[in-house]
Amino acid sequence: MLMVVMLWLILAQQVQAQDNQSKQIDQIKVAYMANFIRFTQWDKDANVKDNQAQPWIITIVGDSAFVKDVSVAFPNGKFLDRPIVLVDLPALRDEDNPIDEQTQKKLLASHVIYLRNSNLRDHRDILSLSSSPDFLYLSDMPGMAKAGGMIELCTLKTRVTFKVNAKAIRNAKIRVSSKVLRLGIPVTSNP
Amino acid sequence: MINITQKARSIQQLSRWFVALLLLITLPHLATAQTPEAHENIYLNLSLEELGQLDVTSVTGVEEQWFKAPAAIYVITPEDIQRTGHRTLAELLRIVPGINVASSSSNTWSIGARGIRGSYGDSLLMQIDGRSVDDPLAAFVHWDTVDLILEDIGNIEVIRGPGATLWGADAVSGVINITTKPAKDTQGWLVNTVTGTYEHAGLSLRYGDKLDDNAYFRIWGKGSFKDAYERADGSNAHDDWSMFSGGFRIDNQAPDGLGWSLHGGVTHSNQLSGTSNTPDPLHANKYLEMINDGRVHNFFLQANIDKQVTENNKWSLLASYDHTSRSSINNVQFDQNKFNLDYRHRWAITPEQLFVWGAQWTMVSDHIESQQYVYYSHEEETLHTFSAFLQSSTKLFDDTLALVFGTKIEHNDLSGFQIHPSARLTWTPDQNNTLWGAISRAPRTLGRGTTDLNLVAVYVDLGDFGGPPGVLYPLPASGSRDLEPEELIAYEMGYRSHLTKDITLDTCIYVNDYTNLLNIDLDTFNLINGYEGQIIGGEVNLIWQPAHTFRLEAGYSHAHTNLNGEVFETFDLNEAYPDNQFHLRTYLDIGRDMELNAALYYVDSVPSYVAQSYIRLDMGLTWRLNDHVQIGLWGQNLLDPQHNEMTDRDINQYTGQVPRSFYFQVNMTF
Repeated sequence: MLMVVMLWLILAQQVQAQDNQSKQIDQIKVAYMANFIRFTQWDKDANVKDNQAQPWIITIVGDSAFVKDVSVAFPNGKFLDRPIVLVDLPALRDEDNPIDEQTQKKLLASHVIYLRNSNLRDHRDILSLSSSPDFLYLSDMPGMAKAGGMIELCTLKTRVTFKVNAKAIRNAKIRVSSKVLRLGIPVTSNP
Repeated sequence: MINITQKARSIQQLSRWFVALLLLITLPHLATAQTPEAHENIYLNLSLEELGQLDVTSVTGVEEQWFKAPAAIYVITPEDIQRTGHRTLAELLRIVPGINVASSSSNTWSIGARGIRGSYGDSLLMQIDGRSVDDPLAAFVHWDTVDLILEDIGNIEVIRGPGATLWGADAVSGVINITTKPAKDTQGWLVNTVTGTYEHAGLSLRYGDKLDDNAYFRIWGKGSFKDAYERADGSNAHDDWSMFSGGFRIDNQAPDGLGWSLHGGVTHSNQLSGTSNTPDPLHANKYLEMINDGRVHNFFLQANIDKQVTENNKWSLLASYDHTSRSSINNVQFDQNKFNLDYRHRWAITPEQLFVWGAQWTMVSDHIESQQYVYYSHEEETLHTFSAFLQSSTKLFDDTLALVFGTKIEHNDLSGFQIHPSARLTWTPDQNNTLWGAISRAPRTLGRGTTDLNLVAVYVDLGDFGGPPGVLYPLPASGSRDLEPEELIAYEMGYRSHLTKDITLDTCIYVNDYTNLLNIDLDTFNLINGYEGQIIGGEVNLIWQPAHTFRLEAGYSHAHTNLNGEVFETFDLNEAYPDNQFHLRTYLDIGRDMELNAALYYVDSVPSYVAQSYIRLDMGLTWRLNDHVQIGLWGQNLLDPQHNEMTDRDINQYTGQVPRSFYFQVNMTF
């Protein structure tokens, strides 16, 4: 009996530890996202996203649980003195239908689009929104930067780091500081 | 002569002020400390660099957040490497508070920490990817043979203070851990070229590629030609040199958690030139200048294997082989082979209780050729070192308190059994404050270069005393295997705080109690354990980053040395390290692609090494032309045409001085 209880305790601790670690990794990813926002300038000419009076619009595609993680990270609902609006899009579209206009509008209005636990189809949809997007496109899905995404968050051994597709960033209307380009692991798009 | 009692009193007073200041800063923060909410994101205020450094391997031997580490740790990031303009590992350490770097010739550096150093920076341990690069013969680093492509360095952790519990008998004053980037992070081509007034030409090439889905590699080569220093009178010090190195790294990370890497490298220098200054038998206080060419050849192979068994259970094994062949400017010639095995196991039995244990074996086999006036008791020797350590880390009270204690037991053929215990305590009341303290013991194993060295005769210049200007005096002086290891007991206390969103403070005070330090018996001229005493000091580092385009860092360190023993009139260990050092660095982004970087260093005078205090200014402007090409223009030591940082009093006039220099750099990646 004692053995069973001990085994149960050890298993419970293992599960708890793994849960804690994935929470920690997600918190670090949110912190990275905050840094990327800090290091990005949105199109000044349009005077919409760059407007200090406007809220930050962060759209999470594919993982509603992550929306919560982002939400608790900003307990007063503000970042850099601007309110934050979180948009939760569990999926972009049904399998057979094209992406609807309302979803497209939501995506295009975003400062940041974060793709997570999703699929290549959603990724292609996001890429096809604009050839010169004015949003920052992040993902933690493996291979996304190489497949045309801007910044891919990844875990290397015991560290959370990020890959940067400089070409995708240069093609966008946003201006990302060279510091981000320098600190990230450079990748180039697949031909 | 400085009145030691008065000086000690003033230092005590200074220490009290420092503690008072520390408390003044600490208390308001601690008073307002609140328990963090369960889901509060404690990483939100960290910079990109800090996020990338979240897990450092420190004195606890596990990955942990720098901010909570119970030791005086400073991390040099890839950004620091790029934005400080230093071109060698030795020079790069100038930016670390509490570390003193003195260049005594174009190819020689002496690096010390916390008030003490030897001729070549002994008592600091340096490791590259876990492999010690200290020369076991003399227990110091030959900085002229340690070379890497700086862009391939992941980070450099500098731990000031003892780290012997984990790293062994060489880690007395500090540990320098260099971690290179995994091959996966260095894919494609890198070409770096430099031309300048000191480094006439430098070229680094690296290529990385993928072997399969799990395996990556890189190969690299590097060559540089560096000019000689000039002496105070403008003449050439003949210490120009060139170095060529190359290496490779292969990484494989299997999906089941088993990872391995293989590293190898070669370094060769055949123009390590310099002057050997021997007293002139015909003239008082004059020396004969003899120019010699030295030769250094080093080869190493290293394999690392690690396995993440479960989330909480990980082991690693390192095996390495080093061969060094050196013929120095004083015609000392030796060949050395070193084998090393290092096993470490990290096991967290609960989220709050972690054990790290390990065992090491090192074998050093060498051959040293005796010289006319110098010989070694054993020309050929093979020595073994065995050690094992156990360290426990316990988190208490919702992770706000962490207790780390452990010990290493080491047996060395020269020093016998030694114990290296340490205990560290960290209190992190909230994500913005960390207070830590530590007590540790670190004996320094003596190298064979000390214990087996015998002098037959020395030149003595008696011109000043009415005697002959230069005579060969029979002097049967020697080291001994009966010498005790030098011993340090260190007491440290530190405090870190995110004072505001933009300002981070890192402070530390320490008292180092030394016993059994080596010096020369004035009666027999043999080496004896004849020094003991205290070094008291502190370090403060402040980082201010008000915007992502601007960063300012200021560091100050003080070390008061009060060692007692019989000393030569011309050399006093208490005057052999700068009392005060200060640095101020700024990184400024200009627009999207330009960076302006500047660093100001102040180093106090060091009378025993005839070095006046100096201020050094380095400035650099870099411009990213496109995604692949960056150019940079750097000026170093701009305020001063040249200055002396370290020399022997007798040959001061023959020593080269650190010059003002400029270089232009092109960095290409594709």
